[in-house]
Amino acid sequence: MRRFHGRGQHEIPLHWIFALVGGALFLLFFFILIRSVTTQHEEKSGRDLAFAVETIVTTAAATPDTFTVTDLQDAKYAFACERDAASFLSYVFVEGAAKQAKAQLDTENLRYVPVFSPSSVSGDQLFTSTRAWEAPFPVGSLVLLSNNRTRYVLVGDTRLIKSFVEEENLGGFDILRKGRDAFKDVKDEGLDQYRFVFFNTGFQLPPQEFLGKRNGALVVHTDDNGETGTLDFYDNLRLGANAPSKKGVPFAGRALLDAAIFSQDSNSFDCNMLKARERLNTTITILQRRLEVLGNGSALQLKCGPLFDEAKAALIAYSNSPDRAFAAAAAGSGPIILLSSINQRAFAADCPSIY
Amino acid sequence: MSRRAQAEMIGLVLIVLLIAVGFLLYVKFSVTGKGGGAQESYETTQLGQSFVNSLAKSTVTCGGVGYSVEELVRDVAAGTTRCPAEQTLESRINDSLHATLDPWGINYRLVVVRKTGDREETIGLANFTNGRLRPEQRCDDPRGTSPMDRAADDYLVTGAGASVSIRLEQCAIANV
Amino acid sequence: MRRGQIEFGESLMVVIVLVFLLIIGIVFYFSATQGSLRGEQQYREEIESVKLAKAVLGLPEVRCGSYDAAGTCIDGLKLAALSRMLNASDKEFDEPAWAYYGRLFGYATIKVNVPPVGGPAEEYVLYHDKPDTETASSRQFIFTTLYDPVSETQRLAYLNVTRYTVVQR
Repeated sequence: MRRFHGRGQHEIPLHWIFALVGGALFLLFFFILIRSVTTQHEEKSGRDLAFAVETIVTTAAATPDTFTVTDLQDAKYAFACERDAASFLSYVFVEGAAKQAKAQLDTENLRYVPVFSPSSVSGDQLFTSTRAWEAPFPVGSLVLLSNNRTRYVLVGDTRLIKSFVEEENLGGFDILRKGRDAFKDVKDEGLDQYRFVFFNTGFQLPPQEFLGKRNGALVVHTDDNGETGTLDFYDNLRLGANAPSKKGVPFAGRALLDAAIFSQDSNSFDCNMLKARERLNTTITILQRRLEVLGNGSALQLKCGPLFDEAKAALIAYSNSPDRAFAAAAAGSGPIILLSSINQRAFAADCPSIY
Repeated sequence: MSRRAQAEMIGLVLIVLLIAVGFLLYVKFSVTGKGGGAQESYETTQLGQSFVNSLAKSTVTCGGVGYSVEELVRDVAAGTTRCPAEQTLESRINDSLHATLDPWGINYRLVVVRKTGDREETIGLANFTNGRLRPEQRCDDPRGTSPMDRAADDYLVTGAGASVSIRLEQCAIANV
Repeated sequence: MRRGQIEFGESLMVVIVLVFLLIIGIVFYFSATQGSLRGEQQYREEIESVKLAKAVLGLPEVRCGSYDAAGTCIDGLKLAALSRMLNASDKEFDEPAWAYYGRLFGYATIKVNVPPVGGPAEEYVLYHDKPDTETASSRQFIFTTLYDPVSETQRLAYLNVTRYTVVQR
């Protein structure tokens, strides 16, 4: 039988309180530490994934005419391209990876790679396809990016669309081909995004269920081959046919058409095309200096001199006004078309290529 | 409190602390999800593949005419030679290897192989290995006591009929 | 009194040992974290070097034209022209080009080396920018061919890319 002394009765409760308080403090400290570890892990995971995507895209840009499917951790990848007078930012980040402070984002990780993609791509796979943009010489690589949760609905001349998809090697993407009259039958299958592309047919308002999401449309006016023409962007489908975001954008070459199809909207297209064009002046200068060196050799000068001189003049016209050159090329004329023709003649005459 | 009780209490606290720290370390190292196989594909410059591709495309003069290495290999494989192709190729491949992979210490074996069905045979040219390594260390020596992992990069020679390729195998240095 | 002092001393020693063990555990944890971070950092630097090497190889500014040699090669005249535009001591130095490629390449030295095979050895320094402070470096090689549009020949060559990172102290 226990004996209770007055002093012992006070001691026992005190010991227990002390243990409880100490234990609670310890547990609190432990909990804070665990939280810190898991938060750090989430942020690190987000950064690692963004780095992985940036690596995929950058390496894709170095290898034109390739289509790749890459498996990744299931996440939501966001692509941003923003420019104003003061800054030009382009980056990929993982949405929802902890509360990332803007300052911690690498806002230039895609600064030098033109990427044409939806603004947000969710899932565990990325599809990338790279196009060499030639105008008429290679200016840069355009990376088309998507996944199996984005559908491209191509409407119009089915023969043209079929050959376009085959020749551009777009079969790996989720592409639905519809004749003009069958367009209204398109059903929303719960995918993240739909992009409607109308080939040589006017804009048609998609069914109601498509208007609420981040879907957009593009109208392509082209010759039979889809090589040149103009583009009308409809970024906000709710506004309907009367409010295109951008009308009459000229294009020359399938690479630009592909880029427009894969862009989220006209702003994204413009922003990334600006990235692609940044090296144009340097490339023109390089070609001019190359022609000067080639023309210094007496044997070549005799045979190929006139071609070199013609090319130099065309390059000067090109560098003086690239916008005018692009517009003229879309109409089938101008220095870009001329340079291509000179290059073919150089090949036929057994002269070194102009570019 | 008795001394024994105190000791027991202290022991308990110690165990709890050790478990807590151990658990923390476990959380730290085990909660690392794989970012997918994306980066592994881009980890290397694929030195071996780029070497055989570039070697095949490089120009070599044979009998006063310029050919690509690929064209000469095709001729040797087909047994039709317009010039002293075998000697020219051997000399060019040797020079290329002596100037690059040899001084870099790469342990390699370069051969030209023809594949017919499941059978593979080396054709025409000698085996090329890194002369700067001891013979027992080199990629073609089976005497090495350590197993050598081989990574092979092939360049498929076009127009050569049966499957003919220039192959570069890379091996770890044998610890002999 | 003395027994109390001894018992107090024992309790104090116990507390000190426990705190010591806790500190050891925390220090070990954080040093493991730092080690893992450094390893991660090094791995990323390697990847960045490989990316830079591949990006340089894919530069359309220096690639062979479509009518020239088939496959991946570098046009020697284009390479020479771009090298001069990016060389501050060359009269053809181009400031806007330097501003752009400087940001694109970062701190790096990019060379194209042609070994003495089928001709003399050559070296083209396409780009060089190294910080004055202490740096760590990572080097990558990729083989390619250097095309001469005059003689229409290709020589075996390799890209020699060294990327620098500033050492944090």
